[in-house]
Amino acid sequence: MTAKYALQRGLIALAQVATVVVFLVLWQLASEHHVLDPVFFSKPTDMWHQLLLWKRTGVLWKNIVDTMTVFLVGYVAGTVLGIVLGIVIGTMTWAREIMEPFLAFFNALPRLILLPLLIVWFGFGLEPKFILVISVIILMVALNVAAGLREVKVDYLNNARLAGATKFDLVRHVYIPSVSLWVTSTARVTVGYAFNAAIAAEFIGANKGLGFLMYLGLSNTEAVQIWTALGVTVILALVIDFILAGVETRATRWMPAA
Amino acid sequence: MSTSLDVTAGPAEEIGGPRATPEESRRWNIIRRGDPGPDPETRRHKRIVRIIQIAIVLVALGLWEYLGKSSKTLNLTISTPWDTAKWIGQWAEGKQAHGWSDLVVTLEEAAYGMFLGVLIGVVLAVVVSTSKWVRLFSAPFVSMLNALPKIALAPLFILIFGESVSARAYFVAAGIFFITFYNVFGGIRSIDVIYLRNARVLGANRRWLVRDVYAPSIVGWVMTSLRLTSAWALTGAVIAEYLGSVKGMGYIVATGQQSSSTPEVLGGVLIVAVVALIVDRVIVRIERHFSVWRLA
Repeated sequence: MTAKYALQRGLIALAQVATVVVFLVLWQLASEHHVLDPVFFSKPTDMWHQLLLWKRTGVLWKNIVDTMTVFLVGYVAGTVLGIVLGIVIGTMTWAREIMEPFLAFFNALPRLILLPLLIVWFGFGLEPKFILVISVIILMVALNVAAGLREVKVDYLNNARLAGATKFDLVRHVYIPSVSLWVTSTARVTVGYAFNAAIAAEFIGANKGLGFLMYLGLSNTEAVQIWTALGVTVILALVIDFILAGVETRATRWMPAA
Repeated sequence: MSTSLDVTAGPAEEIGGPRATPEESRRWNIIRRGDPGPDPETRRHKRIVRIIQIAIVLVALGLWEYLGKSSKTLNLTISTPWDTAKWIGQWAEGKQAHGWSDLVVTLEEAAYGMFLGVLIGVVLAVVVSTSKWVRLFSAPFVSMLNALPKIALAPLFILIFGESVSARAYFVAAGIFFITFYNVFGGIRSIDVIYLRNARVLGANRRWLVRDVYAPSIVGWVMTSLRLTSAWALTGAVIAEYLGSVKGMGYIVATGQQSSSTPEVLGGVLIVAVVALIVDRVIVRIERHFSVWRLA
């Protein structure tokens, strides 16, 4: 059974690698023979050379760092602020009632379009980019934390109180573990949104970052730059997702396996 | 507003008679919709909350108007609510940008892209999830495409398809495709095996399964992703317009920013925000209507 299973996995992995190789070769050939217009579709070898060029001139690293700064600062700040806001909404009824329509409005608003406005307000520095990322994720975190706080089982609280738990103990042993589950499950989702927002933030009024590289490629009609930047972006996104998946398994290991 | 919409009014009031007492209207509500409705205490509480909310909005607007007028630089950056409202009014009359046709273009791109994206997303999700082999094979590609920030496709689509309405619609469709595909794919996989087995025990063939188990579930998942996709459709259309177009709400925002006309930027963003809000409310309504028969 296990041998058969391993064989299956091996075959599938082989098919996957083969598909990627065939895809790249076809792309290359189609582009060289003008089946695909190389002006728009570039080709894998050109992208590779572009990547090496960027790496040599330091462009690659500098722009990755910039995108990651916007992403990380915005993500961490957005999550922390979201947790704070979530605690406020989740524990203070009056605050939630008053804020409800404002939150609903903000939640339905496509927040990426706020960027031009933020640039007008905060200039061309990093601040509007941070704020954009924060604005995109803060409510998702907050609403989840608030829901998590409301869902804490009364039984657990009562049992802990009977066992002599102080208010601090309740927070430490009941609230935090149960809310941490909600936070980590949102973290995986918000990370995608935050990264998306970081890239979008660099389209407009930026002079650094992967999004800016794509924008530059568009204004110079250099397809190869767009494709290469896109490739780097995907790899970066996968790495982030991989790291977060690891964190998630660690953070939720106290839970019985679903 | 709330009093006219509230169903606390009794039959007496409807025919123009004397106002129903709270007790009467409670009884009437039990007959009409099965629950007594808010008691006077809750209604007063709600009214107080509403008053505080309106006060917050008024104070914020007043402060904004005051700050916007207090200095030249502030006026340039934050403008004033009155100037913004004036700009929106002029736009609606067709004196600024292209008037309503800007909004129509943006909505066209969003709607066309949404239709295309949902269609392709559902079809591919169904195809991929029918066979175990296809599923295992495509898993890493699916997660790779899902990790890709959709917005990053905008420059590519504009480059390839040019600065046209269809280019932006394709871009919108690409983002929507990913969202729909992922939701429906996950949805199909999460269908409880018990439903399938029960249906088979009752003698369902493949066609019945599709019609009575798969299709309702897929519709449900498309509905669930509709709120997400509609927000994305508007964002995608506006961002793509911002990057390169000669018409549309994104174009308004872009020209406003280039000419440092804050009322124009603010007006453009506000119009999109209001449209997004309306669309969102409508979808929530539709969702509620359909959730009755939805397979969880």
